[in-house]
Amino acid sequence: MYKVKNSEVNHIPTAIIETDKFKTITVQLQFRSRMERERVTKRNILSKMMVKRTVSFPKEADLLKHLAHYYGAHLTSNVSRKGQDHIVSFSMEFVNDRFIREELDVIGEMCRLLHDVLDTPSHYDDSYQDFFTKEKRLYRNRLRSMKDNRAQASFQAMLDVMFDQEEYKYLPHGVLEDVEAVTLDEIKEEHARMMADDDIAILVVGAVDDSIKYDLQKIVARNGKTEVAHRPYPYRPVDDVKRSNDTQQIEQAKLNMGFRADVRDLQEQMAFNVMNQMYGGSASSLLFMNIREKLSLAYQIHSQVDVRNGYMFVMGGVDPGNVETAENAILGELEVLRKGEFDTEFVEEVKRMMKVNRQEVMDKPKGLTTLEYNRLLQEAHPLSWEERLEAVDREMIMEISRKTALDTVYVLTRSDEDEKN
Amino acid sequence: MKRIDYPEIDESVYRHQCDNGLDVFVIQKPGYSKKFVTYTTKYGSMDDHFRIDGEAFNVPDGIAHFLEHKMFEKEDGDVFNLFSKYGANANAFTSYDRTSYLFSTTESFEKNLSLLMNMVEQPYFTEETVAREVGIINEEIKMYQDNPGYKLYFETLNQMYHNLPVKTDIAGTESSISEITSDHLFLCHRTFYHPSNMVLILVGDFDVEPLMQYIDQHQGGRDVDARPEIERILPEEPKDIVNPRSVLEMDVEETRVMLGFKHHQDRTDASARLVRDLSMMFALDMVFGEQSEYYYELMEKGLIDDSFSFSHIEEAAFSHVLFAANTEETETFTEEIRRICEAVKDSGFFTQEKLTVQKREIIGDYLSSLNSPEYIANQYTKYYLDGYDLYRLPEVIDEITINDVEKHFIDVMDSRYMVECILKPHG
Repeated sequence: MYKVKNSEVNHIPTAIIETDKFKTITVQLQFRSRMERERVTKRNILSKMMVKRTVSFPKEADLLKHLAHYYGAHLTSNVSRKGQDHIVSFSMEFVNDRFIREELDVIGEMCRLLHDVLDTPSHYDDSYQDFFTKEKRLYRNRLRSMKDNRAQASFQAMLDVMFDQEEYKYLPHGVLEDVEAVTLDEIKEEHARMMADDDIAILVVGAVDDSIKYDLQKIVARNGKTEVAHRPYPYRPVDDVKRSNDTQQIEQAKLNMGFRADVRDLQEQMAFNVMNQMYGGSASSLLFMNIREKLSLAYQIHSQVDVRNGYMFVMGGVDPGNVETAENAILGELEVLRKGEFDTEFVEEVKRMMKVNRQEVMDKPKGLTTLEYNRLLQEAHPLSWEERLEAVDREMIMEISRKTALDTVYVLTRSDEDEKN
Repeated sequence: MKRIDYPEIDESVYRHQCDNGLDVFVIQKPGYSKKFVTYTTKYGSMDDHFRIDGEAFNVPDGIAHFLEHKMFEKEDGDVFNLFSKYGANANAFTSYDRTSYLFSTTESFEKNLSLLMNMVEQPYFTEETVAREVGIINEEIKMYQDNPGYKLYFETLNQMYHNLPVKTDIAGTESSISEITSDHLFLCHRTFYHPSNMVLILVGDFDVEPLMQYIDQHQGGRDVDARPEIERILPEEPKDIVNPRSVLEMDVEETRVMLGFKHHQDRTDASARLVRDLSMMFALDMVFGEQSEYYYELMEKGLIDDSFSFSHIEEAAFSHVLFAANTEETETFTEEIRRICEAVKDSGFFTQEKLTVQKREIIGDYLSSLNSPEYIANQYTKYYLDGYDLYRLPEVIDEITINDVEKHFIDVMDSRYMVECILKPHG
């Protein structure tokens, strides 16, 4: 279906994923650094500025027209978190020239443009000040508008309580309070650090061959290999369960619960992953089937995990009168896993679903780049992903769920006054 | 079975009609592991008043969506679970004019396909299961009530439309869904889930012949009533809007504004609607998109940010344009949109050069969307039910002229039929 060729281009690890099933080619660059509060806000502003104006296209509209001319090429940036790391990625997706009825060197031009994108911040001067001020305003507004999304705002509030003194409470998209103080000079310095110190990787997916390396060489160069160790946050045992409540004039309460698990290696990470799917991560999970379908306690209920760091979060939308009942029922389902009150068939079913989901990810260009990037970062393990999944059994699920402890409960609900109205 | 090739975009489709009237399309995606299937009835939230073989029926709001939820439940349990058992992800959704059931998988394909067909074709409702569903859907309705964007959207529709059911929440209201009985559900299922009112679309890497035989055999084995004569009754909708301005208050941080331009439907034919839809998409992008000088003007004035959006909605029964933005200066925003709409009319703003750029961009977007089996299945269904072919879109795009773009913009963006709705924090 596809073939992966790993190599280095200008000392940068590169994975070329050859497949002709897509109509587009995607070139992606990943920049990885340690997740730190001082860094994330600047990098969010920087990465957005980078994909909007370049030295060759100093006006946003001109850059967009250029991309449109190349048959609607998409230039985007994104931020995310992996383990203790913050990742900034730049993607260029463009149409395979097989579908273009004219002479146009799309790959060559898109790689040249990516070079322009990565190089431009080193030319930032006073003439970029207005642009920078505008981008700060847009960024601040994006962060502010998240507060009107109750589910998102209450999840953030839960993280604030759970990770009070830990870096994890900062989301990869930055901190609203830090935006104002950032200067253009700091943006330029952050860019210089990113280009010099970050661990970079290049990923390509589409109907390409080795000759694309010639174009990739134009994007970015390094004198030697830079490696940033990739590791998770250390495990912290839970002392007492932390609780916090807020009220707003809302119809439906948001119940958020955070758990910590002592996850030691890749095999345990896999067991934790399977356990989450059984608990609340899928439509056949205990939370979905029992809390939503059987007890009608919630319309929305699901759990998600950060497997590398060993955190699990449960999010539910419940009737304000049912918060306590729902919380107890949610914890009751975790007991089911701990006591092993489930059959092997359920474990196998969830594993099969995970395998299917992984195969489906491979049908998306960005899914393939994500898988290959994870493979580049992962420590060596004697078993493949499929073999580690296969190895997970009942006992492993019981063991990992016993090592998973409730840390924080955060509830956003309706005040009593609103209840009376 | 008929094979249709589209060499320009390197796609092929197999079409077949079963004896009971069901239309089946198999869309080949060589090299894909995933197989994605949608089974769709031309029945949505707007179909609440209809006549079957001459007899008229009025059913409670939200019933199409309610029925969608209930189809997953059978006498021996939840079908959702069975899909998972066979390694498939299943889902469903209801819109104004259709209800789709879908699954994707990379294994046990035939088992999942027959599960989907049986689930959709064989209803099972009891008074008890209906009553339990009311609780679940009430929570869903409440969840949307806390969503400021959703609230503002329905407020805008309510200020635009007097009678059309488009103004009613697809899920209905707490009171309307409590009126739903199992008799209503059986009636709607019998009427609208008849094979002649449905389409089955399969996207993936298939062995087509045996797949069509399998479907044919399944459909041939069904005991299907005679095709009902369905007449959908839509209320008369005046050309005028209900109210030009409305203000809501909510416990939110930000003020939002939504503008709606109602366009009087002349119930034109399908291809004319497609031309209008595409022309309006081009026109709005030219005037308000990120390549336009007006966009930067609004941005420089601090009137818009990334929350700014606009869209043209073209359905068989209605069409309108919506603008949305988060801004404190709602009045200035509205004035500016109105001013820009007037400024571009008859000023030579719409040029061939702009249209050429737009067309290149849209062709690229279209081709990259064809990487996704979900997109193909959903859009193929939508276009098919509307009377077009998704894979012929590039030809239609090619034929759009700058005159089409200008003419439709002037026609649709008439400020006499504009509503302004504001949602702001309390106090």
